Amino acid sequence: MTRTLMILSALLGLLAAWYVLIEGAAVEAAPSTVEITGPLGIEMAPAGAASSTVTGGDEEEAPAKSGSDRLQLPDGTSVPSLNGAIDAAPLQDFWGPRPYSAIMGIEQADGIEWYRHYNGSYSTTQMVWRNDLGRHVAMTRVAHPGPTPPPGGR
Amino acid sequence: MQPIRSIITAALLTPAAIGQVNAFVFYPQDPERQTITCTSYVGRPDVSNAAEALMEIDHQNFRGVGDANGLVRLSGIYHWVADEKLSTTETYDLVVRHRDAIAGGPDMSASAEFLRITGLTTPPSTNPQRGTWIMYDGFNLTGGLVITTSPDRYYVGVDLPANPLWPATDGHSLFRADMLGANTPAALGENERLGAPNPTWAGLHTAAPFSTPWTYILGPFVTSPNLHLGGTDPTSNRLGAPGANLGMNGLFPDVGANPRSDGLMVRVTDNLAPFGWCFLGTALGFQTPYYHGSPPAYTLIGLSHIGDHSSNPPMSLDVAMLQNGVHEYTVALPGTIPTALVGQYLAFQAVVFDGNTGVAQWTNAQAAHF
Repeated sequence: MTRTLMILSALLGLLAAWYVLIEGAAVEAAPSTVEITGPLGIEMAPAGAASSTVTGGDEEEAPAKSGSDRLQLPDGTSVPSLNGAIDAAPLQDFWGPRPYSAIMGIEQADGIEWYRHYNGSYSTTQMVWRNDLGRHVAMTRVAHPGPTPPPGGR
Repeated sequence: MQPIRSIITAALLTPAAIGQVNAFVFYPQDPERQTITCTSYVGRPDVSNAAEALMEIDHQNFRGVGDANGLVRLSGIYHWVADEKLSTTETYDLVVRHRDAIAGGPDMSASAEFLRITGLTTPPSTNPQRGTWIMYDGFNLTGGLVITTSPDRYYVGVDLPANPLWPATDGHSLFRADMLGANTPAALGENERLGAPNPTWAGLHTAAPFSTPWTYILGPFVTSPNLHLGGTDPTSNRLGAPGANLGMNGLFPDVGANPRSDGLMVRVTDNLAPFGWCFLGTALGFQTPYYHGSPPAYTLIGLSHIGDHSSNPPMSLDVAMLQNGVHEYTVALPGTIPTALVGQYLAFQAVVFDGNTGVAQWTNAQAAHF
């Protein structure tokens, strides 16, 4: 127990520094930009920034707006939302921490349209009923291909 | 102290400016940033029968998951679909439900559903082989699920229909890591101490739900940073790779020295501020939720569960910058945590400060039950 108290006392001694630093961080740690480099070396734009990477069908430079039937892409362009979705969240929100891959076309399965991306990922938007809100709301969905699964277990 | 509700609006608007979310997954490895080597099997909650695969978020283990200044705000659900035949699409529901106050476990009544979204499907494929889809099912952020009742336990998961073809020729299952106590022949998986409870449930609609002795690659999307504890057991190969077990081994480390004497580490992750400053602290157990208020220079979102500003401050552990969304901190090497802590628990929590936006946010808090 004595050793435990010594450890805890040492930790307590760091408390003052913690609060000094948390207050000081607001002044010291404010770089103007953040550059995120993915594992493949592809530079990903920070949220809201535009990029010159434009591939696919019906992209426009104008951002999606409220009541929009367009889907904002991570490269700063937008494409039509699929499946009649209105006000879908930007694709970047649910793309995950990996480099963005451009759209190469549209495919359909079970009546749902999906954008197919060059890296094999799919994305879509669709209106779903939300029992918590009592209305239909858009979802933004992404499916990335993953590793071969291990065997099924009982 | 500022009134909490007066700043909820500001908190709700924050993600729209920052973008992206964090998947709060409780699994031995981080599926968004690490190669997954620890999976025991892919499995369904009740074999080929219809059932919900439910992750339990219990305030004895976690607090402040998706914290929007005291409210719970979830922005979607993440899970890995193991599909035995990719060329046939799979259908599933998303569900978030309350606990059963009497029986324990999930309340399977319809009225206990905070959220149900029905009939989602996996994407198209012409591949007739087995494969995996990493699903990001996102709600519109401004229409995220907000739970105002501050539940002490709730459940997040996917509802799988019955599929008699699974696992032979088709069907949807999840990646799972079996506990040592599962008594399956799995060589890989969780590495909890003796006596740890099951962390997931099979939610049945025609019979009582039952707990399941494994973790899933499954969890809610949140806009708060994540904090996980990792247990390090040098005598174990259950992870399939070097490193700490971020699932049950971190929540229930074995420090009894009979024979295990696990180490402990903290892993903070954040997609929203991948190079933010991380301020890590701990306390002797969860403390009364405390809203610090926002200092003049920046906005601080969320509640502290490790102490307050003056009379009961947290114990500081570390200050560092996240690198590509990750920071790890070693709390104790294997063999160094005193056995006197057996039966006790510590609580850990951090603040991640984004220098670009001036927004700081509390991570979830997590316990280590020794």
